[in-house]
This record gives sequence, C-alpha cells and structure tokens, in this order.
Amino acid sequence: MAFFIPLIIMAIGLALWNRIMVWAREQLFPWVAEHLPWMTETVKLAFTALDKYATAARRNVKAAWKQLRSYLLEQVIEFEKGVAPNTYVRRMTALMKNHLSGDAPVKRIVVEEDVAWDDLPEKYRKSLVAGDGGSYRMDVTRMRDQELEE
Amino acid sequence: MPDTTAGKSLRSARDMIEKALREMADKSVLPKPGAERGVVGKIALRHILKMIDVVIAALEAPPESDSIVVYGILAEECEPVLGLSAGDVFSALVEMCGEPHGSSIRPELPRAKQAVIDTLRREIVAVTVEYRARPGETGVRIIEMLYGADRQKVRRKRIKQEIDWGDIPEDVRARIIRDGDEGVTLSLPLGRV
Repeated sequence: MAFFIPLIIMAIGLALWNRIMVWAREQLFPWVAEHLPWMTETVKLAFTALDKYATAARRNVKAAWKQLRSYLLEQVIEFEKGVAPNTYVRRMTALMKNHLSGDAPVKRIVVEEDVAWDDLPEKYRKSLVAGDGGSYRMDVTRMRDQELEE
Repeated sequence: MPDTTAGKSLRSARDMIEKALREMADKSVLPKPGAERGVVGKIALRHILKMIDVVIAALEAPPESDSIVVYGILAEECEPVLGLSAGDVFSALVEMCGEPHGSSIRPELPRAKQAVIDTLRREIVAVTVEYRARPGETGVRIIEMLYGADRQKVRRKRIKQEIDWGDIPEDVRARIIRDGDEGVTLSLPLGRV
C-alpha cells in the first residue's frame, strides 16, 4: 500500500509532528486516567508515530484514533509570545466527552506551558524574526484525521 | 452511588437473607431432624450477607476527593518534566501535603521515597490550585505549577479543566456561596525547607 505524508504535516516537519503527538498524548493522559481509565492503552496507541512500513501497526493506530475520536471532539495547539520578553507559551486545548451518549457534557482541558525558542515551529520562528507578533495555531485532530486517511 | 440499580437490588437481596436467617432462628428453638444441615445453611447465608455488605460499602463509598485528583494530575505532569515516576510523585505529594503515611486518603499507598520528596522540594517552586465557579454551575479548576531548580529560569505550566459543581471541594463551594467569591485559590503546602 502506498504511503505518503500529507502535505499539511510535511509543511510543519515530521520531527515536530512526532513531538506534537507526544504533547497531545501527555495532555490527555491525566484526564483519561481519571475519567476514562479503560481508554489509557487506546490513547497511547492513538498518538503513536506512524511507521511507514508497518501496515498492520498503522491499522491498529487508526482504530485506536477512531475510538478516541468519538470522545475527543477537538484538540488544538497554539504558540504565542509570553508576557515577559523572549518567552513563549505553548497552549493545548482539548474538548473531551466523559462518555459516549449524545448529550454527554463536553469538557474543555487547557494545558499551558512555557517553552523554549527551540520548541517553536519553524514557520512561527520565521514570522517572529520577521517582526510579526502574532500567534500560531494548529488543529491537531484535523491533521491527524488527514494523516490517517487513506 | 447509593441509589444505583445494583445498589438497590443488593440491598433487597440482603433484606431477604436477613429475614430468612431470622425465621431459621425462630424455628430452631425446637430441635428437629436435619438441624445440622440448617446450621451449615445459616453459616453460608451469613457469609453471603457479609459479602453483600462489603459490595454495598464499595458502591456507596464517596467519590475520590478533588485533592486526590489534583495530586494525580500533578504526578502525571511531573513525570515527563522531572523524570520521576508518576506513582512515586503521587505518594510523595500526598505525604508532603500533610496526609501522613497510612492515613485515610489512600491507606494502601506505599511510603513516599525521601529522594523523590527532596527532588520535588528542589525543583518545584510553587503549586497553586484555583477554582472558579458560580453556585451550581460548571466551573474551572486551574492548576499552576512553577518549576525549575535554577531560580533564574522558572518555568510555568497551567492545567485548566472544566469541573462539575459537585466535584469542587466542599469548603471551596461554601466560600463561593457564602462570600460570593468567584475564584478561590489554594496553594499546595509543599513544605519547603
């Protein structure tokens, strides 16, 4: 089966993408351990980096992601300047359901962390260097959906 | 959860067995042939009764207090940042925050390792937990951890989660209702030396 990296992920670089998968998993893990403890293995698998040659592993990751996706409505990562000069903040926001029924309340989980310059996406670093003070946002769930599409 | 279907049916089963045991006791006043079998049956029923009590107690146990949940989240967060195992950090946090070893919060918890306590005291500058809510409504719990052994370069991590009104600690809820506070901030007593 042909394997290709979707353009959207190629644009940010595979190394950063794999790091994003780790951050995304770490963000959801405490919450899942508390509210959906039977899902902990699924969450680990859902954010596993894809090995381009292992089709079977890819299938498992895809199944886990699909299962997680029925609880995880959206996960977004944002980078922006911190309050102090030369500081940067990484903020991940996830919208999660506690259980599957249609009217289950959706809870927002936000993890904000100071990060180093090296942890910023290259595109964002470039715009900072160019003097643009804006922020940078990535829709992790949508990108992962695309990555796992065939 | 005291009023679940499981809880209700267990309790009615319990009542039936108790009634049967009472009737057996009444009848056994007059010794009858086969009385020994009755004794065995009674012992078995008493056993079942005890088991049901244990299950009912487990079903009715109060849900974990929010401080346990906070320690759990912090432990998970410390694992990648400080390179300590989440289990070790959890035991250490429970002891550092004034729950002596073997107390009711988690009686089965292993004793905290001194080395882990030392690392946490050295690396963590402060942890605050803030609850923001209006009475009866879904609120927010914000955990903020400042860490970094080198005090020149302290890093910050914030974990913000929506929380049901009922899961907010009772004293915090009381302050929100009584004093009209919309936010209550607690800081974890990490016992810096």
